[in-house]
Amino acid sequence: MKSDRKLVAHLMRRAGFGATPKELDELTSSKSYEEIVEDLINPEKFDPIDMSYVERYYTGEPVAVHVGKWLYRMANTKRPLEEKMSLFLHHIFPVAWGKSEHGPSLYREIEMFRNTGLTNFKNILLNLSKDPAMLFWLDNNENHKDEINENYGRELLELFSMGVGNYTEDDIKNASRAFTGWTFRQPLSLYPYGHHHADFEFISDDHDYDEKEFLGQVGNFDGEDIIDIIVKEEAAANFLSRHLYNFFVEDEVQVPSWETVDPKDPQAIKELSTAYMESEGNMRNVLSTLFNSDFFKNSMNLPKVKSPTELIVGVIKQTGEFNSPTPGIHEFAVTTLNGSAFEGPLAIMGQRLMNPPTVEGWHTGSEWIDSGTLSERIGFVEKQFADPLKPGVSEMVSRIGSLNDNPAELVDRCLDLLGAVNVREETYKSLKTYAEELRELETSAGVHNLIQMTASTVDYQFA
Amino acid sequence: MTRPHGLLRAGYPYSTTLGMRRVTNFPTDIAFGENDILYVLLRSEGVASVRIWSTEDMDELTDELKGFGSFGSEDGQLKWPVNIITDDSGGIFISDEANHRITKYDQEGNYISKFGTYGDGQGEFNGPSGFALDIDNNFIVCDSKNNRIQKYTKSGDYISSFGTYGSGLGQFNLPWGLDCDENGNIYVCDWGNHRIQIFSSDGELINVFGEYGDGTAQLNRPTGITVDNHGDIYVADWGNNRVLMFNSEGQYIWSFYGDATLSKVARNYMLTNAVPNRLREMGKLEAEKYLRRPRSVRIDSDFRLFIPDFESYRIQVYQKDFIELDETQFAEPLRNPTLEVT
Repeated sequence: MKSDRKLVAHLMRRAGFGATPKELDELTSSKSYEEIVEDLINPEKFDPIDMSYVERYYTGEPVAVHVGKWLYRMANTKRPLEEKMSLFLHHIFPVAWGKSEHGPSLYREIEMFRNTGLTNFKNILLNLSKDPAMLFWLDNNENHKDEINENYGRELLELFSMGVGNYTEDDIKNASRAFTGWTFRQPLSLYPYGHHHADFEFISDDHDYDEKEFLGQVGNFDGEDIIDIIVKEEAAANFLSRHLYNFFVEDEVQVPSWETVDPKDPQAIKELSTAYMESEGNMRNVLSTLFNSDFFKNSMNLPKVKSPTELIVGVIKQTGEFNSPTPGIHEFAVTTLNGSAFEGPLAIMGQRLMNPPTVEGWHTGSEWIDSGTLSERIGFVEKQFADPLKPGVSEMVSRIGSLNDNPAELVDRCLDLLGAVNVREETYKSLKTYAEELRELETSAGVHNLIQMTASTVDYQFA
Repeated sequence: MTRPHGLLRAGYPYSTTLGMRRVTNFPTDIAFGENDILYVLLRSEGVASVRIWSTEDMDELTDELKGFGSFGSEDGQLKWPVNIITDDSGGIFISDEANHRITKYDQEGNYISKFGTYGDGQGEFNGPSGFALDIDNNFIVCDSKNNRIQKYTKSGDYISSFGTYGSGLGQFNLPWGLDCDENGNIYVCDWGNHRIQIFSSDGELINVFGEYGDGTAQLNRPTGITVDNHGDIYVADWGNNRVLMFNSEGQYIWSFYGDATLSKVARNYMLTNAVPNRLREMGKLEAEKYLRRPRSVRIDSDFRLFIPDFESYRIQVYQKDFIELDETQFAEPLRNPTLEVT
């Protein structure tokens, strides 16, 4: 073994959506931990997923169809961090379909996240500021030189880059002035022949070219200048670092509390911020620092509740049901918001992808869990592992061994096959007892029950 | 029917546009019925049905829409339908790559029968997609994920098959569209290899053309194919948002990128929709005419070319304009190009 199996499993859960037993075999036998991190942050080493193959089968207009395609990508990509960063940016720059009901803008925005997530923070914010979905979501299409709309300028500073306490009301006004004329060309109407996408457009006549003062600097700034100034601020480095820590390392308090509640691990935030400042916001450098750090490696047992997306994608990756396009993946994402009569599991668990609740996005960590969502989560996992003929489940059953084996070894193998899952001591004891009780059953049915039971533990809900 | 010695090609003028969003969403294929009836096969995730439409379109959008089929796996239901064809006695047949079967309906859309089961054994299916009836009234079917072509009797009894996975001659990579000509030859869209392969009725390779790209005569994931009574071959070049036309030798002749106008039903609908009319005025209206991801192409006995314009919820129709030529009007093939003034 060139790397530690549990540590690699931890990395793949956080930087991606978990690993199958076969993937863990290959990774740990051929690469060191550091080499695996290097592969994750350089996804272009691996072929992208063939979307023509995916779109040959998955078609349709509803957002649920496009979310379904995204789930398929997350589960099958050879570039897991690319998809994870798309999800991260969707978390921190949330735009909802509900306001415009213009699907193409939403899924083109996710594509933009995919293309920029591993570049640098300036490029991310610049593309975000030119993104039609965001421009409409925060009304910058209504931001004219003779009638300023401060919505985007305000959220850019408050929620997207620095956080409250690091700028003034005048900074908001002047940032907003700098983004006047940043809009999009009107796309064709939905009727009679379907959606067309929108493209960014800069209307020079509608832009305020006058002098502005922003964060203590004075000039004839436009939007790009504003972003240039922001990304050099220590506050931006700290803000992004805390987001990354919350998403990849350990559940933090929610963003509105950051002004008053200190980070759980200030030293970790400092390390990430330093990496950010030294690399001028290069995301690969920051993420390399994060995944290679001791605080990340030691975070295996820190609380980190899987988001509904992480849970669902992690499960379908392991069951193998959607290893190739198969009908039904969009049903995970169906919501009543799209006119359906019922909600799919993503919605019931509280995460309607491409339809976040507010501009603040989803509240994460323990806020994912209440009695209703926990019951849905466990029920979902139990149901997904119920069919022993699914390719991933079938492989686990064949690899787990005999019910007559030592129960502790049996449970160890089961946990390993499910992605080297960590469980609490009391869960471990219960599973051992259950493994002993199963000896009365025929082997394949018994080990299948053990897999299903292990996946259905509360411990499995943690990343 | 005997093919003419040659053609004086007079052009392919645009004829009309049929359907709109709400009535012909995601048309994946069409088939011709009696009395100018079109059976438009509609497919998207969770929705699958057939819209019965007219080549005259519809004057006004009403709720009295005709159609059949629903999403599911029960007899008569559809999940991932690919092709629809009709026979001389009014039967309608639909392939379904998720239910792994071909289903027969009567003219009214009532379920009659089905054949096909999932598997990779002889006669079994894994993702049946394009299919056609050959001159002997046998079904020729793209068994797509098994990368082979299978032949069945009209009642669904297995006869034979050919093809394996690969990129060599006669091999396939997820073949999709298929058609047969009046000589019994079989035309296959070799989707993953970006080419067209033509076989005799016995599975012997006759011709191959096409390569990956977006240039003239190049293909990007060809999906649908049809052959007209002159032997001209039309290919839905899905990834390039166009239809290409080749002559019977496989020589490139023409491209169709789309020329859509407002259909009759769309005109009437838009008369009462002020805001969308303004939005169309503000947008790049020219974009509305182009084909988006066509999955199929069909030509009727009057040489009208029907292109189901998949992502624009409509059908674009062209008219092939030509004069058939005899030996005195069309020279024999030339081996070499010439600069002689003619």
